[in-house]
Amino acid sequence: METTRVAVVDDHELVGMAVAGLVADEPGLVFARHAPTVSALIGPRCDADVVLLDLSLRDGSTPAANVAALAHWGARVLFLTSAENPYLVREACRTTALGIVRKSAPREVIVDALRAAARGEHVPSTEWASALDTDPLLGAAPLTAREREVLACYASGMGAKEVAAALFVSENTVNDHLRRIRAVYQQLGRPAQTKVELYQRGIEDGFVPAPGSD
Amino acid sequence: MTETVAGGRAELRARRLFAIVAALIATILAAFTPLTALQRGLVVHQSELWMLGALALIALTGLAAPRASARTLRIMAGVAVAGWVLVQVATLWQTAGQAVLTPWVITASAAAVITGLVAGGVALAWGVQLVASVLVLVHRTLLGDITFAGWVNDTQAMLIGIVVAAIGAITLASGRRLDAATAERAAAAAAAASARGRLAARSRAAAVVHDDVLATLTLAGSGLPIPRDLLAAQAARAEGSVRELAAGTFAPTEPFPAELAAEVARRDPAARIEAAGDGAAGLPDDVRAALLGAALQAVDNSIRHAGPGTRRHLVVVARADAVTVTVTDDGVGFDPAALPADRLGVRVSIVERVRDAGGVAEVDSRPGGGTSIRLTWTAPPEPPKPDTTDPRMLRLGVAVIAVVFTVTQLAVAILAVPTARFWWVPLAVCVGLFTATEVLRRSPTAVPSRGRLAAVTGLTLVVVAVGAVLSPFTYADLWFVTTAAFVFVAVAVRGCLRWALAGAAVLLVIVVAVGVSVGASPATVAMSTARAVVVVLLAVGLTRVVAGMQARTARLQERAVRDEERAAWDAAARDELGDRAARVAEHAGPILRRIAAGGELTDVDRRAALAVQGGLRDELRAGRLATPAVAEAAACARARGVDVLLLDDAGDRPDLDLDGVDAWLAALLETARVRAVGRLLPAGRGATASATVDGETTDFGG
Amino acid sequence: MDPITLLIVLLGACAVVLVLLVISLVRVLRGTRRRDGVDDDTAPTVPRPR
Repeated sequence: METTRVAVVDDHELVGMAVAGLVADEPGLVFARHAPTVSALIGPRCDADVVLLDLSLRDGSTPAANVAALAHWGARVLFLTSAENPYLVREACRTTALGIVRKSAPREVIVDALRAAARGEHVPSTEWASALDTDPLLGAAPLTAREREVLACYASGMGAKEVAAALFVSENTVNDHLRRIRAVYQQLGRPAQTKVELYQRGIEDGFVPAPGSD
Repeated sequence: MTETVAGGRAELRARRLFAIVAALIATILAAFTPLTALQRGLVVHQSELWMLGALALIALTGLAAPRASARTLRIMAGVAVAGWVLVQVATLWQTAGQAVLTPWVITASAAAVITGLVAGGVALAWGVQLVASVLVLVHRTLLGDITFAGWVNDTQAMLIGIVVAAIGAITLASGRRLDAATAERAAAAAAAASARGRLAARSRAAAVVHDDVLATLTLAGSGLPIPRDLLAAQAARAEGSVRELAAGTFAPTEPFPAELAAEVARRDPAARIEAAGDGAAGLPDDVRAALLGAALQAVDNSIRHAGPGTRRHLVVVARADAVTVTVTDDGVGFDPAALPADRLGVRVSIVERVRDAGGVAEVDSRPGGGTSIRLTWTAPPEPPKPDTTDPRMLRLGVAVIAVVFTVTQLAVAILAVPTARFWWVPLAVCVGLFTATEVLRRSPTAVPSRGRLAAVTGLTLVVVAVGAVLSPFTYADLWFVTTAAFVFVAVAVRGCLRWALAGAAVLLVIVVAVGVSVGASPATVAMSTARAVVVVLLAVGLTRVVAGMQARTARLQERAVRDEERAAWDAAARDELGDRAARVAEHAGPILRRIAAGGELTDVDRRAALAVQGGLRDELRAGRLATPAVAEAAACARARGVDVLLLDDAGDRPDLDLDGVDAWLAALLETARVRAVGRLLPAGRGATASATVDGETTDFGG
Repeated sequence: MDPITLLIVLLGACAVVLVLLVISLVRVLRGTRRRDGVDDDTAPTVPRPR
């Protein structure tokens, strides 16, 4: 089995260390290195197969720009998030990244995600599904009713097996649906926005409560 | 009427427009001189030559207009007007006792009037017209050249002069108002953006703090082998920044140049650094972050791409109202145009970032010639004083025009009686046209209704048709054609441009048709209709320009209002932040301090960290689900080692009934062993909420 | 120079100037609008307070 080199882009060096520790005992995965920003990670040679990318980096770069750079460099991207700002998550889902994983997820979940990403497979997670399920843009998208059901089930926390059982279809079918949903979602356009707007949207969607609420 | 010496863009454009229009009219007039001279058998009066000179000055002003500055334009126009008036006076002197007929070109004052408008506004324009009219009158009296045709000619010229001057004045005023609105809007937008930026910076600061806290807690709770001292240091930092955020003092303490210099020195110890100025204490947070990030990005790029042995030079100058950062290196350079758009690098992280913050980034590089990147930011200017144009002058103008119009047309109508075929025709035509103007004037709405417009146009055209058929076809007897044109001018000024153009077109057709049918010479037909066509075209054109400017002014003002609203909202939101930070400090403080103490973390500690971390995430994402009952059950579950995720996806769902949801969910959470997801469902789903506990999903409600 | 030539020269000059002025007119009417027509349509929408 080929070894997958895993790199981490996160503001905190400790997160890099944690991932290194996580990956140390796993066959087929090896820790490459950690960098605080994407531009610091990208060197002349591509020495990572999968990059765990923090969703909100302190250097103000956008998820889309980061994923584009990493993809161009030659690595696959998995997002890491600690606080699920739904707007940022949606923006992440619209990139070519393979999925979005919570930093606080159990270690098996993170490892499985890394292996799937190494194979180039999309990693559907509850966070991903929930972000899509609530995106108003998806209402107008060409998704079948069955696909929306699958999405909703996933967003409620079910895994592929449970969804397949609930809808009386095979797991393969469910995965096909998920792939199609992802493809459709990536076609949806929203113009690139400025950093200030990004965080303004964060306020919109509830990251910071608006005056008078709560 | 107050006028600013250096007008803004819109006003300058209007002035240029007038200069060009005046030049056009002057050139056409100048072209007529040889033609009329030919008609007279190549006899050219000396006064006509002088007039050609004056017209040439006006034409020159128009030619120079597109490139001239406001000042130059006004000076040139002033000289041209002065020249024209002088020629008028000189002509008076010279032809006293010489020629018999007043050269027609002397009486055509429109070009000079418009040029006067460019030079000195409506006051000068009317002044020029007054002088011209008086001089022509004196001229004619001296020559004994007072004829009906002359009277018609002179009154028409005067009317056109003052009407065009008035419309021109309105155009200039609109231009000034548009300039003021533009400047105001720019200032308001800048203020709003900087306020938003400051809020964003603070919410970003809050986000950073959250991230730090959550990361610390996650790491602590994960049980992975992380060096204890590093974790403790991180926890201490996180706890400190939370307390700072709560206290509202989360601001960088170092002056910008020092911070930038330190960061660059860290990356490249050999770099040459010049940092000056500390006046940037008032630099907005978002600008500071953008400049810092962009400059460091430039340095990073240089380190990575410029080749070994490159020497880097940083110059940062920060004043209170402007900041300049220059990063240069003598490395291999690159071709800025050759960067593909999707690469993270110069374009996005430097140029756009600085532009979003309101600054400018200039990237200079040549392959083999080193690289220089310059970032500049200047504080947005103060909003200008509001425009204090006096509207009384304009209203007076309209009243004067009305009076002059009525008096002159009545006089001309009466004078036309002797030469008319039927004595009553001129008077009937006059009454008819006055009725038309009155019907138009009495419109209850600013823009007259279709019916009213149809009535006015129809009446005017019928009257003209009747008059044209029943009058001798001479220039003077067709005086009412130009009068009718003024009706259409009034229509145009009210915004009904198509009606005005259509009416004028039909008017033209009628007169030409009648002329052709009675076998009149083309010259007569042309002379009878020329002024009518010119004045309608001018009115329509200027009204279009004014309408455009007024629309843009309205849009800008609306935007300014929205920006003010948003700024107010932002200010209120800013206060919420402090509250949230206090809660975070409360929840996470204790466990962070325990981690910072550096001792071995027990299982209990780890579970506690996860529980607090989960609780913090819930604050952001759980929304209405996070009732005390649910929060308690979730904390207990997390303490047991369960991975709990709570999501409020209900948004603005109208049929939301939260009764009993929390008890139901809390009960389910108590049974969880491994993993639990609770979710409030979005609109359009049957159920209110769903919960997936250890692989089994149940719905609530609906 | 005889009067005819003078007059023809004059007419020619007027024609040239006329053309130049018309071009200027069109430019001023259209070109400036495009240049200062950037009305900042990139302003984000006002967020709805909840």
